[in-house]
Amino acid sequence: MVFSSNVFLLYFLPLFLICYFICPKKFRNYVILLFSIVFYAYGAPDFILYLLGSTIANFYLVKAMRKTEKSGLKKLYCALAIIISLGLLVYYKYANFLLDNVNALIGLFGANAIRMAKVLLPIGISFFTFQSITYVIDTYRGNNEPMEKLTDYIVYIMMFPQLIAGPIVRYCDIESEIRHRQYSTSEFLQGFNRFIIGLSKKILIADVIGFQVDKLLAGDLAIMDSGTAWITIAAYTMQLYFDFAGYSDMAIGLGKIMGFHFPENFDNPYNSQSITEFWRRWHMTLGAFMRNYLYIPLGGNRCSKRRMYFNLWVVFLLSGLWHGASWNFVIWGAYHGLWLVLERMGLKKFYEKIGKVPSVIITFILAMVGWAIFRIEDLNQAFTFIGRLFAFDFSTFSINADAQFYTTLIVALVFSFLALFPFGKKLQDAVYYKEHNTTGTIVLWVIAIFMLVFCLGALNATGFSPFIYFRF
Amino acid sequence: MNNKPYNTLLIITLVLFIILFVQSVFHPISLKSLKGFYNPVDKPDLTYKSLTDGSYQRDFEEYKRYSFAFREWSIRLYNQYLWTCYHKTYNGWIDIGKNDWLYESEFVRDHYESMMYKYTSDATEMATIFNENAQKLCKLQEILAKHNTHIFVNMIPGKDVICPENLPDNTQYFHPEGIHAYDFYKQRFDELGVNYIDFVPVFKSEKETADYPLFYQTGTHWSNIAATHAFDSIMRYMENLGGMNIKNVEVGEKHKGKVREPDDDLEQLFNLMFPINKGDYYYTDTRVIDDPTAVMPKLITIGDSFFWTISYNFNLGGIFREYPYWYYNSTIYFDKRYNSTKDVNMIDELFNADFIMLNYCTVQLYKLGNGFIDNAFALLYDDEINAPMSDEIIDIERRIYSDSEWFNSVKEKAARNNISIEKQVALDAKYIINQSEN
Repeated sequence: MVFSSNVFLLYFLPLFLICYFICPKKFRNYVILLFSIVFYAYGAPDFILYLLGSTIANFYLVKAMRKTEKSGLKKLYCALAIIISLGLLVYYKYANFLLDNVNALIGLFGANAIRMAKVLLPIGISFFTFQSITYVIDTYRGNNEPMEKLTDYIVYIMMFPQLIAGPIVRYCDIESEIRHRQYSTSEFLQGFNRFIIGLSKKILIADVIGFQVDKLLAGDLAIMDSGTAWITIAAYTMQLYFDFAGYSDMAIGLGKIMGFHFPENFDNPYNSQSITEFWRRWHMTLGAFMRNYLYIPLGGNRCSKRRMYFNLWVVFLLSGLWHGASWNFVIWGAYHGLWLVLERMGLKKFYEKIGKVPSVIITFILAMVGWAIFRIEDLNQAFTFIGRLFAFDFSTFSINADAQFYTTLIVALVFSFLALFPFGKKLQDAVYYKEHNTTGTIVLWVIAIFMLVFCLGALNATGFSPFIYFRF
Repeated sequence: MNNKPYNTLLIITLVLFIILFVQSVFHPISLKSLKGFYNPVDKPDLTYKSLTDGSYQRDFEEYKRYSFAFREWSIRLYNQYLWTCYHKTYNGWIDIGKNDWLYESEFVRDHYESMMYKYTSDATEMATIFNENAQKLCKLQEILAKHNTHIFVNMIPGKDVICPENLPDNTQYFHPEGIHAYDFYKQRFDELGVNYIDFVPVFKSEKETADYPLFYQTGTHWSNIAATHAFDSIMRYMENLGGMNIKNVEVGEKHKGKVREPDDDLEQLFNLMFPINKGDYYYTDTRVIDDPTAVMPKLITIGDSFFWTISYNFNLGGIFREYPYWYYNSTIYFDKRYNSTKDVNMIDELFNADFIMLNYCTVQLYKLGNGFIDNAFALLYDDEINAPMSDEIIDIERRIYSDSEWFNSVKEKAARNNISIEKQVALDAKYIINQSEN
């Protein structure tokens, strides 16, 4: 189930909110648990038992790990818990990819392909796997105590707002809120507004732009003129951001409604002055995970420069692979890793010299080129497309204007860069984080209600094409 | 901090969600429904397989698109936003022309390339099909005339023909201009002597002189007032064709009025909150003049939706003793006995009618008859001997239609043989005659 669907907005969410707030506080985790299971089972009924099974196994392994005094056994439990989580991730997410590559390789030597039934990917596996890893490692490191109640742990892993697309919430971030959380009506309203902002980003911006992007990329990329290519990739850059950031907003908003404080996932990433900064602003919870659980254990910065560059590359290759089991994601990760290494090698100093605006523009262009690799799975096509970007062939460029697409794209660009300016940042903070007085709260609430109705219209008007009379 | 207003908003929010849920499930509040027809999406069956393969979730989401709470309001709101800000609609049947004139997409297509491409891209093949149809119609006309049934074609101009100045620029249709059914049929009907009445030149000449709009900015059909005046002429045409006195209709003075169907039928499909056309709509009233010397003929109309406009403006029951409308030769309206052309006693219908009007606008002429000409031809004309069916065969055909058990078995046989019912009736009738002769 996705948030931007009728089933979620009209059935699941109202029913959940009613049950959640009617229920006494001490039972609310059970309400979350029940609804989260329904939420996941509705989208992937085949995998619910797998998710529950691996979660329960992890819970008891961590409990056993914490109980034992023997350091060897502790390590073993920790390793076992991680292997279970990662093993399932590797199997479900990468088995097809690995097999395809093995078959391609052995095919070169004339061997017959190895056959295996296609493995289906459980939704959200990348996110809940990482969450369970944070739990295992943080507990192993002694950063926190393990959960006492199994149901609380399942709530942490399976809580529906962040189950499918994050943010990746570290156990230590919400441990206390799972056990005991404060409810405030102003936070409920803030959460509601945040949810609607996210919904609007997804439906009114990302989906509108995405519809056109799909059409543009379905054409022959080899003959695409450079103007169209740049518009296409700029549009996709906005689509991806507003889609993902919108989903994160919805998750954070729902969390607030329920009394949780999930970490922020985006901080105006396209305002970054370098790719290094970009990764501190884009999918921040993934960045934090990679830093804390991969980069630092590999040695981080506290090693030789060569080793550090190597570490960076490894982190970004794996980060790329985490996004999807395909070579384009690996190349995309390597591409970002390359820029990070180059920035450490001196490019960053160049950015500092040229100043804020040029470096933001360069970083934005680099990110856009990266998204081309990310979006176009066929690498030949991806490089053809990038070739068209830099062919600077505008001879056949014409804007076949879909006013809605271009207006939405401009709005998306404006919002993406608004926080570069002080007034924009102020406005953003006011909408997202500031506690308002009564009038401000009421105004925002009214706007949110209006936007909800509007989003429902947008969600369902597209494709609604009645005709005058039936024809035969 | 005073929490009272926050608590109130929280409660209102929760109440709104409860209303949203209750309305989604039980629909206690009935709202003005959205206009236009669409294929209804059935509620999917929940099975283990459909749930696990995801088809239930997909189908249920699609089903909900058509029945969610306050759908009517939210879709109208969003459509109004699209129209106001972008002059855009998601309705794939409509193209927005210059000065906010609306056109059905098929009319735009016919204008720029021809509807021929819905059949074929080969003009020669299309011409052959049109020619065969015209020739069959000509023979049918001769046979039916012997039974005092007069068949004729009523050709009505499409909006693109009369109001081409506001058509949108062509950005979609790139075939070379093909054969237009209207041009072909007009010439061929003249050559063959097929009965027809052609409103294209009439409307073209009246466009500048008539003191009422022939087409409205927001509708796809001829305007109510134009159709009223046109049908008056059609009745006179029928009088001449059948050599009979049909009742006269008094057409009143035009007057402004609140918009009526179908003058804003395209706008209705936009499902907006506010009207597009702020101009005036004109109407006229009609009254059938009592005339004891006039006959009340039976008129069968076969064709497209342009006949609806006629039916809205005339008391057809006061003029015709029967006036069944075989809509696209499929569903039957204004007939107490039949709902579908698959059920009619075709022989009786053909011979008992005084007039059969093939009523098509220029855009829909490419499917003239919608199979009726072939079907009637199969019943009444023997292709093998190239002559009309004998009276004996027609008599057997009539008996097949009259015996519901026999007719049903023939229908089943037709379905099995993948041929029309009429063809099967004719084949069976001929078989019986052959058997009895041997």
